Amino acid sequence: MFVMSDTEQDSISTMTQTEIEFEDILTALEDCATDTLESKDYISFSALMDLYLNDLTVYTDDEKIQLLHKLYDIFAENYELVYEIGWDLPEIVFRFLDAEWQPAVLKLREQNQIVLSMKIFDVIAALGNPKELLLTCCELLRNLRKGEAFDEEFIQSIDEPLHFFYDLLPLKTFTVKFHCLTQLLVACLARNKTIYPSKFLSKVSTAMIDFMKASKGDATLAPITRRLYTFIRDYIPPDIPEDNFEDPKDLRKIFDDENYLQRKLLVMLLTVVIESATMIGTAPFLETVVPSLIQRPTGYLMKDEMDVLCRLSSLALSMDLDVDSMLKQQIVEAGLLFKDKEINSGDDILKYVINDYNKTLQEEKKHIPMSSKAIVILYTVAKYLSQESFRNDSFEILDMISFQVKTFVPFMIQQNNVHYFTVASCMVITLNVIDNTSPAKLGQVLDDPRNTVLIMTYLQNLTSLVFSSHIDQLVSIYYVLVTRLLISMNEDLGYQFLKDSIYHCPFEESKPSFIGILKDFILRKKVKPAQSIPSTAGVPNGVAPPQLPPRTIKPCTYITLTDERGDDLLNLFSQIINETFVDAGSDGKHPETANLENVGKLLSMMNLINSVNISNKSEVLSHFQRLEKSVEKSKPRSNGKEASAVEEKELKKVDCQEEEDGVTTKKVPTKVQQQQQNQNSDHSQADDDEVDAELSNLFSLITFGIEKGKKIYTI
Amino acid sequence: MSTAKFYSFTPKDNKGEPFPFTQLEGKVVLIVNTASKCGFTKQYAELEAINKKYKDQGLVVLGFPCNQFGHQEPGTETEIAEFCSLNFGVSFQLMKKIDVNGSNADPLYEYLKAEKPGLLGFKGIKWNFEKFLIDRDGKPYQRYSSLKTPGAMSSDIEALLKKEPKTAAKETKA
Repeated sequence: MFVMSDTEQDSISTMTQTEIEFEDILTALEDCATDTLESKDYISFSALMDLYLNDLTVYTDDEKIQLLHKLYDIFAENYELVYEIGWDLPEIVFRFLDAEWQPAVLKLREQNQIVLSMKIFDVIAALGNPKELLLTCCELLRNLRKGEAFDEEFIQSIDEPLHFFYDLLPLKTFTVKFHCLTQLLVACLARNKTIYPSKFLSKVSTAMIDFMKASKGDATLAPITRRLYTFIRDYIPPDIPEDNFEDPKDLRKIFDDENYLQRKLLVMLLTVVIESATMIGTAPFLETVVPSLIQRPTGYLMKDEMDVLCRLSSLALSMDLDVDSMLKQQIVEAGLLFKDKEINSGDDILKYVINDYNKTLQEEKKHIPMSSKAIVILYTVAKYLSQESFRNDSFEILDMISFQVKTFVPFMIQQNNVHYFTVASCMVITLNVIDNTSPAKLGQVLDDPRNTVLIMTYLQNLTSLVFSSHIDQLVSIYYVLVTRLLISMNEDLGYQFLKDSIYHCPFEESKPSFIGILKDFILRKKVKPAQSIPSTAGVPNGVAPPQLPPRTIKPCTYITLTDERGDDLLNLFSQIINETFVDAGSDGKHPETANLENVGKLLSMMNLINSVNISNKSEVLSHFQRLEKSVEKSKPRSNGKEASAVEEKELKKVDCQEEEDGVTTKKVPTKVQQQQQNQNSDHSQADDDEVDAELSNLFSLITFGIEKGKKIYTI
Repeated sequence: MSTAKFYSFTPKDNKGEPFPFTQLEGKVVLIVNTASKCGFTKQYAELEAINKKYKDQGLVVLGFPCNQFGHQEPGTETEIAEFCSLNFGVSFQLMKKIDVNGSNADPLYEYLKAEKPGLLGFKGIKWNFEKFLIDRDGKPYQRYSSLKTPGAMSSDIEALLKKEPKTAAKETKA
């Protein structure tokens, strides 16, 4: 038997396509279809299609459309052919979708190649062999990816009005292909008459899950998620085959079992879809549900994506998922995991969580458990985005903290597991729990020394997750949440957490804000509960004792600035000065180098020192004097002027903002960072001037802070 | 008096007044969850048509507005009634807006869903305009998806209307 190599086939293909008249190709396809039906040699037609349709670049757009027309006509008239070779057709039609087309109209329904391709898919869905097609579609779905974006050079080379067309083309093609495949799968599932439909549904479900896992970001797009949603919502099991000879009793049993399996498969698919869809959208979700807590809202609300999430949550309810009771159960169970256990360190917590995980794995399953991620997301979306009302929505604060510790452990162990939407959902629920818990109860739980390690572990894990997300909106509500928890916590514990965070948190950008919170806690007066009037009950003859002279109660703040804490602050101030100004030479004569990334932290620290009253004034002064010298040594020579009135105003503005919310994050201007990063690279004089000006501003702000500090602490 | 559980419910009508189901004894009842901004909203017209056609024979149509599907019923009870009356001439009884799924679902719907589960055995309501037909004895007879138009249910309605309620039959015999 003569077998051609791939190269030989390719060369023949190219030669054939270029040398044969296009009209002859159309005729050849038509004739071959007729011959095939007579000879029953269906492979011949497939081979001919491969020959002529392997490389579509040789055809003009008009010719490609004619080819699609011809294929549609052939398939629509030859049912048998479609049934026999349907397996090959989706991939061939996809070649047309992937081919290069001259830009035309933007609307999909007006693009001939898309309309015709979808019409061919309709024919394949109606006439193809459903079992074979199901397998081939699952395979194509698993490997479906969004095409590469067009080269920027190419985009720039074409007329501007067409940029939009080419920008959207890969996404549109991807969406159309996904739509075609899912439509075909729906048809195949419905046409496969069987008493065991779960077999086929499980194949499709796993292919869809594989697609979502592999395509990552692409599967989060609203059109894709919406299509997956309608697939689950509109799934109808196939009819039972006419030639079924099962005993009616057995059939009933099979039917019930199959219904159960299909329910489980659809629920599983839904949970994966919700997890996949929320790989993005944390920021717009938070901007939508807690707008007042977001410091710098972008206004980019991704309404389409949020709408699909609402649809998914309402679908979950219609699939009997009582997300509120499921979440409540998980939260209570998490609370029990740590209740009355000896917890001396974070390692103990890890041990309990891992033991619990192993125990759950070994248990014989009565049902397939849903992932806690999916439950918490479905609940949050339903309650806060969809405004559903639930009966089981009051949770205990300690249980909620335990639940988060348990949920976050996999995130902490493996970066790939991190799901920021889950973190955001947990934070939104926790804020709600705090709102619904009395201050006395909150204080009782958070103050309890038995809960200290658990709470500190929670705060540390949360800090790490939030700052590694680089999602500003998540950071915004983190500060609100942490502040509200710290307010109710034991003062020493709160102080220790803030001090540790300022010293040890690996995310430098968080430190100015932690310093701001610390300042706020040192300054903010506690609202004391009204003292109860002493009762006269039980007093002999009901005569009240004489009134006590009025006492002078010293107003109390959330964190008292003791001498020891004052020393801590000075140590910290000193450390920050050292980190910011590095001595370049051992002789002390060389200019110091300013670590500009630290300036935000230094400014916040100066703001703290200048706002509170540290008793060791001489020590404070000596730090300011040291700082002044360092600034003098490293100041840019050309810009050594004093802070201007405008700059003073800027610093005051920063002060005021910090006093309002205590969570201001000051960022070193990017231009300055760029200068540091690109010290050896070329940049223009204008850039240099701009950077110099910003640098000068920063030094002026520091100088202003020093002057202010010196005035305050001069004895 | 019938002991059917169906008659023990007292949901509220669209003016907030109790609507005891005891008044439905011996009637064929069609219960539907409605929404004014849904693709199926035109079914209001068909519901009104069958209401008019079979009302005198003992059919009662009850519409329960629900905002749980795509937020397609955002209005107040007054706005909903006005919309239905102006656009579809609805004269059948509209009820107070309720939840049909989730832990706050109306007890009537909890009962109907448990009695007549949907496709694959899922109990939850899938979308707006799902329907339950209840016979003259207060027994849920059939559940219909949103796709089944009220007009296409005529034969079932007629069959149920033709049946005499069991309690009435017993009384006649006695």
